[in-house]
Amino acid sequence: MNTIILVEDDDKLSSLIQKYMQQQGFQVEVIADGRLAKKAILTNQPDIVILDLMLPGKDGLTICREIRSQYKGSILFLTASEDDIDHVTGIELGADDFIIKPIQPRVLLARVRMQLRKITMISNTNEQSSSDEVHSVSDLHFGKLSIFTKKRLVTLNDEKIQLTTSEYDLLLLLANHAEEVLSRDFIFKATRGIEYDGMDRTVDTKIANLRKKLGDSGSLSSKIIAVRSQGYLFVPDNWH
Amino acid sequence: MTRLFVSFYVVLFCLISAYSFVADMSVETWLSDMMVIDKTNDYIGAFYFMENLHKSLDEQAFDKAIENFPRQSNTPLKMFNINNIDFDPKLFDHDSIYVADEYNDLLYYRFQDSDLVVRIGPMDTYEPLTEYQYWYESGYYPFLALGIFLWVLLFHTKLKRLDKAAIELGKGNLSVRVSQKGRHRVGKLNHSFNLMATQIELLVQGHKNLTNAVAHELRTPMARIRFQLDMLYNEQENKQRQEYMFGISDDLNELSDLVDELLTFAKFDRDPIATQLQQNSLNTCINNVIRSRHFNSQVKINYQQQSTKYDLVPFEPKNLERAIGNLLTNAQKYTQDTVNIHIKHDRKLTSIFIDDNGPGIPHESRVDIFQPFKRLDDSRTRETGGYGLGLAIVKQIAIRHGGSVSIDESPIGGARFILSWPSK
Repeated sequence: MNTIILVEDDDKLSSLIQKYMQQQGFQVEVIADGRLAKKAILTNQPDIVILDLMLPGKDGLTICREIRSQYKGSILFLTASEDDIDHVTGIELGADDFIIKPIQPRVLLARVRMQLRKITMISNTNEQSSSDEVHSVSDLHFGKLSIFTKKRLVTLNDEKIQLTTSEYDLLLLLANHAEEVLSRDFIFKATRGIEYDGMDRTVDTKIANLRKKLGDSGSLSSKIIAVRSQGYLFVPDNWH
Repeated sequence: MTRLFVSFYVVLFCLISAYSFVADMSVETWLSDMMVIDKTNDYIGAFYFMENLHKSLDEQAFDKAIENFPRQSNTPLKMFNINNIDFDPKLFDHDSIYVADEYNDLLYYRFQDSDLVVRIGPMDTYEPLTEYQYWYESGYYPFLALGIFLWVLLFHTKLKRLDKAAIELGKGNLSVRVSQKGRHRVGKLNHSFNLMATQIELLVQGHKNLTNAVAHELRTPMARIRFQLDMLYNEQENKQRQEYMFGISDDLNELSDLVDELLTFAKFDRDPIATQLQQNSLNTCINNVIRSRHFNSQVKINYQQQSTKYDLVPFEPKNLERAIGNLLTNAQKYTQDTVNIHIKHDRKLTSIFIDDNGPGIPHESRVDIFQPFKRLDDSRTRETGGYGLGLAIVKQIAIRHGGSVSIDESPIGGARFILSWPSK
């Protein structure tokens, strides 16, 4: 079982995260006081540390700096501020990823899984490079959603979904990077080959169309999730 | 630059012209009588000598003397017979001197007991001197222009420097300041500009900090709601679903309280300072506050009633109640078991002391603590509740009353908050 240490001072939020992650099969330990975090992380050596930036006693950046040399797992920052300074300092200090509040459970899970995958990827790099190629040409199945790449056909509940070429390309791109948050910039470049200028909303429009056709609409969408100020995430396990 | 120079020069030119015009006009209209007397007095001596000369010499010798009068003299002489002059001889009835042109020194003198009249003038000037004077005078305005130009140039570079800084500031570089060296100064403007820039920078920084703090305070409950909502969406069991719904409701209440408090804070931040304060009873005000907060029964609140003699002081009852209330809530939160309230009153200042026997507040935090969203532990932990705006609001209310709020050590071992404002 993968282990997580969550350092977060908001009791309610931390218990919610703990509960959710436990449901997903993680073992979660919560620490509310920044001063106690270092010792717990270094003794337990969890797979993932989720650190809130603003903490009583000691802030997240300080903790990160203190543990980084002696801790081998991944560090995820949980932050309410999009201030670039925080991000830059965090990455310099060796943080692996950022999650901006308000977080969605499914996004948090995807981020955590992503980090775990990275850890395994490093241990067996050779296998990864070959599997990626196979991945993109073979048919994809997520619950009731199937993408038949050779026929360029998409079915949901065994019914054929009519998609335009660009919508199909977009879906394939997202599905091939399931559980990864893809930035608008990345999506734009990958589907059109042009650099994203930060203003164009075509990606958002196309995603909205795609969601509608795949029966995933409204702000409570759980299949293709918009991650605020970061991009989109394809959730592989909600297609039922 | 050119405009500044031209307008300055034209104004100066017009002023000088206008002044000399007025001077000329006044000489012509009001002072001409005086001029006549003045000219008469100028030449009266010369006429005296001529009269004497005429008396002592015979006619031929006199004529010769006149004839030999130096040609180059600036004041030429000419003899006339009284019947040959081109003006009315009656003018000599009162006085033997007649001033024909007071501006060009043209005078006539009638000799006593004789028909002879001598004309003196018009006054001439040595030609090269006139020329020199002409050149000298025509150089006057260009010289003035040069002086003004240099002065304006210097002034303009000073202004330009300030202008550049102002533009820079306007573009958003709030750290820009101007030199306050003597040769760069335009009166006190440089100093005032820097003062203004510092104030703006502080304000904007404060605003930024506040916005960040607000974002943080809002996002934690939002994160909880988001989380619970998503978990609720995927949850099948009814009881568990209900729990999430209650949880979301709690968080919404918290958000709503926070927004209320933020709006209160914003209101005080924006409202102008109260000008006319009504006299109100301080006892009533404090009793109201204590009554509304007495439910926390573990904490003993002692309040020494004020003697009625000094009870009436100027304040805004609703706002002061809020301020005292916030201080009292704060004291109740941190004290062990006792909160003491008392009032000190003199002719200048009314002060309310709120003492607790909690852990107290260290010296270095005593100013910061009145900043919005500042808490002593700087953690935004929910342990002590509140949103970090209570004391900031107290400070705003104190300022509204023209007063202040400060922190000291209380005699019973904790913190003492002192809220004071002018008694009149």
